[in-house]
Amino acid sequence: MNISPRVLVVGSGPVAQLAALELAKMGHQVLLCNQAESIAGNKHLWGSPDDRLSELGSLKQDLRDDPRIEIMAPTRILEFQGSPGNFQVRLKGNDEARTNEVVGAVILSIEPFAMAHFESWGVKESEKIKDLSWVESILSSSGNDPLLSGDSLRTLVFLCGFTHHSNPFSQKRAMEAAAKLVLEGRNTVIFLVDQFQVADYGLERLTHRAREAGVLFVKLTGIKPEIETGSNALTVSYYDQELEEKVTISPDCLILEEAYKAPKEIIHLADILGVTADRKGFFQGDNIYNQPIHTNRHGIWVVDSAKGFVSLQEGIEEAKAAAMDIHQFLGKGESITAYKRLLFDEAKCGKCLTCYRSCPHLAISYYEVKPVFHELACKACGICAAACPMDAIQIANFTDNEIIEEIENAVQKRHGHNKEDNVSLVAFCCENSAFDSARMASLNGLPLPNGLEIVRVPCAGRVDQHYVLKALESGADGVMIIGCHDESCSSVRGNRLAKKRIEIIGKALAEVGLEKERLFFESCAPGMGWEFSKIATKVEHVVRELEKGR
Amino acid sequence: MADINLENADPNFKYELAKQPGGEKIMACFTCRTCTASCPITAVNERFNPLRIIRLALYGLKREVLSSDFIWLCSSCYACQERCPQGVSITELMTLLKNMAVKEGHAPAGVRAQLDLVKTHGRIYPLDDFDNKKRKKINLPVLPTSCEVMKDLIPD
Repeated sequence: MNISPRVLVVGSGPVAQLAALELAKMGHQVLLCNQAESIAGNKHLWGSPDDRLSELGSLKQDLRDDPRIEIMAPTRILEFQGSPGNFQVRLKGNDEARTNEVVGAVILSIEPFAMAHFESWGVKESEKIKDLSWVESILSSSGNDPLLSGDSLRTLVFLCGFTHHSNPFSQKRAMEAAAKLVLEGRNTVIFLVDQFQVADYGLERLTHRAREAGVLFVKLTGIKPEIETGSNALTVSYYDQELEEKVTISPDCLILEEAYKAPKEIIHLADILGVTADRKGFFQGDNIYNQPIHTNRHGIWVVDSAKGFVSLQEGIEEAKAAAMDIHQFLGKGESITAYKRLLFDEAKCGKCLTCYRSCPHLAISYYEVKPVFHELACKACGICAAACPMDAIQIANFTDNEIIEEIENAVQKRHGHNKEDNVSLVAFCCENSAFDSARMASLNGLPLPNGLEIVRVPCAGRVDQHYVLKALESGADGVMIIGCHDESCSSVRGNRLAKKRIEIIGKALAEVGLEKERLFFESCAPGMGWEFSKIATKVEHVVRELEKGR
Repeated sequence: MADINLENADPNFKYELAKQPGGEKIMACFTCRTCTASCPITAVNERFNPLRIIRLALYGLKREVLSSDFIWLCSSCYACQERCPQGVSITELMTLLKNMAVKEGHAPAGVRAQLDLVKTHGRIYPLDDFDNKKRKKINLPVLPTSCEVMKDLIPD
């Protein structure tokens, strides 16, 4: 299949620039676009000079020199459609000019911004209360600021990790600033901290260095210090847990640590691109199949802090990994994929576009009220096939006829045995999780119900409502769908769809006088034989009780 | 005890300690409380603990540290110093603080009385003619009851 080897990189930071360069080196045409004013990068994320890694040194020059990289800033993405390898993007430049571009893949590397929580302390930024960025700018300007010059002693207080779970990087910045501000004992620096995370490269060492330079770390577990601001006076008081006494300080400057927030454009962009975002407004969400650099949409990669804060070092590794991934996918403009996994019968199609709405991989678009299937994006999960009211879509090896035949065979096999003793159970097992566990349980000889029959499905979301009814009709006493746990479904929401369907069928069954307790939705991880055994035994017990009651 | 106000603190105190034997690593303390958990004095009274002294010293509360009873209650058992994961010489720090306290005039009455005894008699228990009489009975040599050389060793 022919695809476009061009790549769109969205973002302005060093990581976005590095990703663009890596791709250009591999021979791809790169469009580097950003909604910010210029390709400058958020200075907070560059860290201190020690952090500036050698590979980022000549980044900007290389970027401008490379003929394969087209820098277009500032630009906004207006529309985005198509399939991996062939995305159509509509961009709007600063001068209102609109352009259409075709790209094969996208890397998102939008940087978060740093913000101090003045409001949550009930204070305003003032002469004596500052945020970390201000202190850093003072330190880097090497000027004659009153904080740094002179011999008189000053008291500085840092607040860190109180109003939010701060991340290692902002703590690193705070500690570096604190260690510098001690000025060989000319300033007293007290570092008040609640949630302290030292799980990053060099942080433990930095803590040591700051402490030995003379920074006094005071940990206040779960207690916020009180800040009082009067006319030109500032006092900070807290209960010192080591001294078991209240300590009052009148600092000359109070410095607040900063948190990293997602810019609003991420949510907006996620909506346009059709990728998931989390509660905090970052890309990607919690699904484990997206970790670390993927999104729910094939062809869109997300790196660096666009999906929650990561350090610059990690961001660089991710950019390289994404570039390699994309090169593997786009290569020389051709891609090979399995042929005819999805079978579409146009004559049956009712043109309702339920498939377009239900596809979790965004592999279906439409053209003149007719669905178009993108084979590169399709994962053959079968959610569209189950959702299609006309049964116009079939998945190869998992067609309606094949599955129904399997159900009938399974239940009839049971009927041949002694029906008195056994209850007949049908379990639809997702091949990504429960099917594996079921096989493990039977291979290991774990206790399983005698009357259990397993039907393999590509995803719990593939189970059509009439499969469940067919199983009951053929004589099964209980039916279960066993899928993945939440946020572990490779089809984003296949497990949730299955659960919902079980509830709907249960209601319908109750109306015709059959117990809805005969239907089950359970979650089971792959490789958990004993867990599968427990679920199946529990279900058998419930169904047996129901049978007795009849 | 009243609240602590850092306005009266001496910010140079910790650096002053760090320059002297025993106080070198005082700033490495990361308040793990191992010293407190090891201390036999803390076992008797929780108000007295080595960590408290270190924390007060780091705050720069010189007067509070030097007038503290704890530095004199310390039994010098070295349990804290042996166990300190950060290598703070806590027992030696106490010795340093005791020396500083005496210099600043914070020594408790008992210690001062003992000092006077050593100064006049050359020993911590005074010896008089009665003792020498008893020593003679069992053929032990007579000991001097005063020691002039101590006056040179300990100037006023």
